[in-house]
Amino acid sequence: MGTSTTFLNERAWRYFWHPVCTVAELRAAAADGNRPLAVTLLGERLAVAEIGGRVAALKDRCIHRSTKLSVGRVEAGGLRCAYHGWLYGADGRCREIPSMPEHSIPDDCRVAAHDAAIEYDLVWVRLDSSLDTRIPGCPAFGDAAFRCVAGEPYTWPTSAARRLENFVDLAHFPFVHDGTLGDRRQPLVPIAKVDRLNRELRFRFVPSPEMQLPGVALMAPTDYRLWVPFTVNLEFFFPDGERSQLWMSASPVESGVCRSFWFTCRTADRDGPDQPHLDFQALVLSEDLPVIEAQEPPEIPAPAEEYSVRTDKVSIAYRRWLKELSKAADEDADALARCLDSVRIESDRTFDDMPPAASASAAG
Amino acid sequence: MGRVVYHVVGQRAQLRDGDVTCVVVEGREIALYRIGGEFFATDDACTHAHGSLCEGYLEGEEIECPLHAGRFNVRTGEATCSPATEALATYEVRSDGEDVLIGIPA
Repeated sequence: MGTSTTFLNERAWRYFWHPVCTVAELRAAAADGNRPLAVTLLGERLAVAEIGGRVAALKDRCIHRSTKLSVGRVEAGGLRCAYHGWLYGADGRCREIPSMPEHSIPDDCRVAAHDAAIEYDLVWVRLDSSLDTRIPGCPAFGDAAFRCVAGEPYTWPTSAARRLENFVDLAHFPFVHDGTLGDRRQPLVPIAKVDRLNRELRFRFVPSPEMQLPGVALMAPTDYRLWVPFTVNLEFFFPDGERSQLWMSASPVESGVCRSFWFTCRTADRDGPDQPHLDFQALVLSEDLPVIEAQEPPEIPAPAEEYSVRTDKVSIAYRRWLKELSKAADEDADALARCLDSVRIESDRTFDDMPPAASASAAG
Repeated sequence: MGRVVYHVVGQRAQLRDGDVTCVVVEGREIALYRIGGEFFATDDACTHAHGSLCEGYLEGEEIECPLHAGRFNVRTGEATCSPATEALATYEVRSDGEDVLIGIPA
């Protein structure tokens, strides 16, 4: 049993877009007897369906007698409840009550409909639309220089924040990924300068020569972009000029559970087989899972409950921003927007997309 | 008391209320805080295990170290919560128009 902690306020993540399923999963359900897909986001059960060419995410509970809409059927005009046949449009409005065809249906006869959109062949949902948030970037997707392959999504018994931290953690490579991404004999890690701008954390990892693992893995300079709260992209720059990217978005399913959606993208050998790239990632994930599922609690606890060190730099910057966002969300959407747009520049990098206010904040 | 020299470290508007940032003055790493329009400055390094306080959590007048959650009063430098026991050095902060200046012993 996970002990609940009050360090982060999960309610804050309702303002953000999260992936809930792949388009392929949604269409497979539709092809199998016009079924919608049942998903869970931040503990809320949703029925996802394509209705009239538009993706809809409805609260998974018929307002009439509380049957899950996800056991209903998708029709051209909407999603029909399995129990008494009530039909709901993509906007959540009830369009038809079959037992009372002659009655007009009041405006408030509706199920909650959340913002839903398709991007990167994934279905994204935002539970609360009162803040202007954007679907996170996925730089290689749609870039003709890259071949992007979608990995199989995976569900882990940990929070999305823990999953994300594992993805940006460097000091575990020599232990968890000894011989795969690291080497036990070389446990030192650089302490990155972490910049906060455009609703992202950005930092670079430049491996020292002694971190190279001939015959094991090529440690390449890596650019990290982390879209708060739970999406990350790593871009690797190889000595021959080729690049690859690894993108992951951890969807906060419910307390202590997340589902990760991911792509592996490469400029080299674009027409070559994809399987070795997927297999390598599968190996890395199989090494991570045993330690991640053993973290207790699965949620990030208050700072006093874990013993951090300076090499946890990225984790500390990440936790601090999540904490600030949590606190801001307790106030209102405006406070959250201000916190989201806050800028902290530590490095001497310059960014093409530096917001105008950032140059001033960089001083000192 | 020895002589103190004031150094401009930035502009008032650069730091939001309730926030903390890092500045380097004369080779010293200093955490600069803004609380209710007032500015405070302490050493950046926690006296416990050298955590960077400007990466920590500011709650009222207390800064919590991000490493082990030791706390200090930023006005006095006093350690207010274990594992921090030793006080932090504090620095005087002045404003000159929009400029923020920190006083460093010469």
